[in-house]
Amino acid sequence: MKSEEELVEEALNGNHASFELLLRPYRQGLLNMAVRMTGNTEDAKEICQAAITKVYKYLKNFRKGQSFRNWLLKILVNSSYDLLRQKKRATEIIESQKNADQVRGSAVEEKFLQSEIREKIQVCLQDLTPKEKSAFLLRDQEGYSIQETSEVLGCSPGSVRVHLSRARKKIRRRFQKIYENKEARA
Amino acid sequence: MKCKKVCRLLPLLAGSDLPPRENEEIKAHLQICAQCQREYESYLLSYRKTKEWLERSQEDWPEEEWQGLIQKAIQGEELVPSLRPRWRLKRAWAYALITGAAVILSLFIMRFSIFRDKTGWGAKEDADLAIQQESISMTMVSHETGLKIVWFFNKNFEIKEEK
Repeated sequence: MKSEEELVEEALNGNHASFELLLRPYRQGLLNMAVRMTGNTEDAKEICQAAITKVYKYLKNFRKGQSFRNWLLKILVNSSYDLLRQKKRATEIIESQKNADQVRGSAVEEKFLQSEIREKIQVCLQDLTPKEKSAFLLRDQEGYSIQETSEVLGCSPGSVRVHLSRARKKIRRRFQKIYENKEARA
Repeated sequence: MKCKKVCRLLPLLAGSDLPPRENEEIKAHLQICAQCQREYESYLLSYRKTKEWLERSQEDWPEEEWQGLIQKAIQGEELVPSLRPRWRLKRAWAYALITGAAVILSLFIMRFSIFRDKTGWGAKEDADLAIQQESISMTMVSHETGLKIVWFFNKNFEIKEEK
């Protein structure tokens, strides 16, 4: 079993199989993170493609001793910010969700019961800003510490706590709404 | 610790993201405050549920698609040509233009002042201004009587009064 540093070295020497081996342990994590960030698989795959292309292009800049996983996630998160910004998805999603909320109203519970887990997650994450979403996903999905999350996001641990706190508040609000509707119907 | 502060920190407590000291303080408060305890339980429930959903909902790449993705990355074929927004480039150009304009303007001003000094251009205007400044006046008008008093001061501050 080769170490990440060895695989990086080999990939830099033009060994494509080593590059694939280097990324293989993170492939599921990358896709899941991107899906949660964007809310759909197509955009998520687009982001993963862009991120992996950047990883290959800038692999020579990867410093020894640095965490490859952190570096990879940092590229992925930044790629998703770029995509969201470029496509103006952030505002469009919020707007469309605001409008959809009015339509949903009492149908929230029904939708919740019928939908898959993935949809439940998307409902809970829909009010979050990209920063809040990435802080929440790194901490609660990937199990990163506050310090590691701050390194990936390039901000202070205090800022991560603020983003995380806001994210959990918004998620709880959405969560309560769903359960209130459920109880009211029962 | 007051309820307001406790409520602010509850989302972090739910995920065990607080330093030990604050953790203990809040937990002590929760033992005596039923309302905050209820809030905390609600945070804990949403935290645990979403975490459970995140763990249960895992997607993976079909093998072929994954291999294709790696190949495209190696060949440098991006699905999106550039994810970097264009406005960032535009902003860089805007900064460069502003800096360039500022440099040109300052050079022009410097050159103009040197030209003024060398040729004495504008000296007449300066002299006229100096003459005008040799005396100043002050006018006072009474609203009741309509009396108008004008004081003239020369450069030696000698006063001359006109009524």
